[in-house]
Amino acid sequence: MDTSFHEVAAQRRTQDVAYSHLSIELDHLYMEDFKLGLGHLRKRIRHIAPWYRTAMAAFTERHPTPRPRISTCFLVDDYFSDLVPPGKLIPELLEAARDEHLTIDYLARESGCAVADGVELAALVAGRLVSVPVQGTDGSRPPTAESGWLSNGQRTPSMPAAALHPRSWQAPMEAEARNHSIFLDVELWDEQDGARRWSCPMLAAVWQLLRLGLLRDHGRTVIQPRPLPLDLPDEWIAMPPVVQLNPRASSFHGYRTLSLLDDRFLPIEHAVRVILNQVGQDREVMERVAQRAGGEGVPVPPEVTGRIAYVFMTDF
Amino acid sequence: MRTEALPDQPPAALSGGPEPGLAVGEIRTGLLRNSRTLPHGAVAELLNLLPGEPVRRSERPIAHALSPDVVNGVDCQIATKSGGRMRAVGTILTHAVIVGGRVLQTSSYTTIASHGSQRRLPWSHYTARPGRIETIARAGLADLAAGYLALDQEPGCLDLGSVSERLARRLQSSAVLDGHQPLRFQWTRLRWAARYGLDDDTAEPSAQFELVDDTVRALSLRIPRPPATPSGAVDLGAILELCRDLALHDWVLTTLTRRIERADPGSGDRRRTAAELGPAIDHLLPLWMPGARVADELSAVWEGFERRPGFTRQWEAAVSRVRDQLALHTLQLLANLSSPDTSGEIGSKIEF
Repeated sequence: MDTSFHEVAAQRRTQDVAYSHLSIELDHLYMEDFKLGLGHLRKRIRHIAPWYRTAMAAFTERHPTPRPRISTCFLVDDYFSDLVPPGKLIPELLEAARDEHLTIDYLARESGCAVADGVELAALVAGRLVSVPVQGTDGSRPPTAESGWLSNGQRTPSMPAAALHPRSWQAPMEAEARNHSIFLDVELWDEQDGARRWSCPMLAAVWQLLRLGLLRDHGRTVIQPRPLPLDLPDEWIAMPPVVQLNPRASSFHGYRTLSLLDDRFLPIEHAVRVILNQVGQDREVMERVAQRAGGEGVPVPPEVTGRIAYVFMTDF
Repeated sequence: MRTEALPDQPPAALSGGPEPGLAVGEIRTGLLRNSRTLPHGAVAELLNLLPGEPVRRSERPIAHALSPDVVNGVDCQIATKSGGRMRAVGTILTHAVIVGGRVLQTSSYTTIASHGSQRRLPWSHYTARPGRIETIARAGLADLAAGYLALDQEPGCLDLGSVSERLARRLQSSAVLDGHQPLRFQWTRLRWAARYGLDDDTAEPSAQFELVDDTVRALSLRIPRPPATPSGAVDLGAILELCRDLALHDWVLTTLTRRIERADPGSGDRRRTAAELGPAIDHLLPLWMPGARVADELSAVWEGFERRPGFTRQWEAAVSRVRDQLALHTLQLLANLSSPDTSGEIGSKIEF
């Protein structure tokens, strides 16, 4: 006799998502930028348009496929300030993009990188941080962690007597230094009125992982883009975390991401990479993405940061 | 199952089979610091080690809950059989299991790959592969497995046991538990190494289990054709399950036999003996289900150990002894009831 017995709670099912070949982020603006009005917005979009076209051409040349799937997205910074309501910002943004023949497929709000549909995404990523070990870390002692901070190496040891012995200062060390260190210590969160407030690099790291389709909550995908609400709400928090503006768009998630950013985001993205390098990835999701991308003839680098590209633009 | 170890063969990839590999780990087994069986909700709360990851529960044939894996980074030495050491870098995983709402197991493990990169790679290389450490220099997996099982924990060498112990301590001090130890016992440490994906003549796994001292055990596994996941990768979870199952039953058996020794059935004080054995009946007897959760491909290991030394044989003998003592104690109570001389005993409480 053939019998079979399963218990659902004993398994973890990993949900698959669809992937574009590339997810392109078209600029990132602070709320203050939007306050400067439609003229400023047009100027910004005009600024990135040639870089977008160049990037598309470069990518399709490097990864020739019969039908390249590329989606574009735009992230609105509503987490640290909520100044311009969706009803004003979205029509202006779409108008500026249309004038430059750019299509914004997806619009996301940054607060959705902290919590999306009840799932605390930033906390989920923070729980997976594996701080880079210095040589000699063998497991015998607990990892040294400064709550709310993450560095790319070893900090200067804190010595109460340092003030008495100024010469005893010990330099911090980058774990992967080439001859000399570029040490970076990233603040992941602070507390405001007893509530945790995530830092911009932490949210931007979540944003990259979201776009790469690598995050799951209990095995389920965490982002499902929804259509633009007919009546735009007055507050960003009432918007879906990711809105699909173009019904014909390729998938929001991409095997790779490219961000076209102003050079003021250079330090932020350095911090983002310090964070992403230390996120322990979901083995199963990583395997599936690698298999699918490889099967499509567009293999992805095994490391997450290898899948992320940038164009940093200065006003030249 | 073969009980003799085969001479080491050079690792070779099987056609279509998994690459040769090595996994090592260390498991701590003991009782939860809680006076009674921990209910489902509390088990789930205790094992919720990572946001966004489920605690995996099953009910048949015994309540079993497995926490998600927590990742830690290491950059340290690992010992080789030949007495040498080599540097290895990567990540190790740690999880906790609660069996029957009573027993806590914390288990740390990793696979070891001989990478031969000659230098440490960017950290993102290692975080993309959680649960894997890579040697900087080339090394033979057999040499590394034997080196790991050489039980002297050398300073500066990979110390999975401490990671397991820290998690056990942390969980035992949780406010979810009432803090009462229901039974005196000793934690056991099982250190294991498993080589898999080997080009052996037989698909049958082989294993050596060694009781090193009162609390330390070593398990060496050789699994030519390991169980695979649906995607074709080695199902490390199944190997871990086997190791935890052996560690659990070894601990239950060890704890029960020590309890019987402590109760000293030969002393003549049957009341004290019965009182000593009571907690063992409550907390240990429901746990014996050898191999119940072990994958078919690995069940031969349990079958081999059942033949020799015969875990269940010893268990049944111990359980019979406990029951005999209780039967004798009951008889004595009944005899006392019918005897007017010992009326003072009638109201005495049977303390289990």
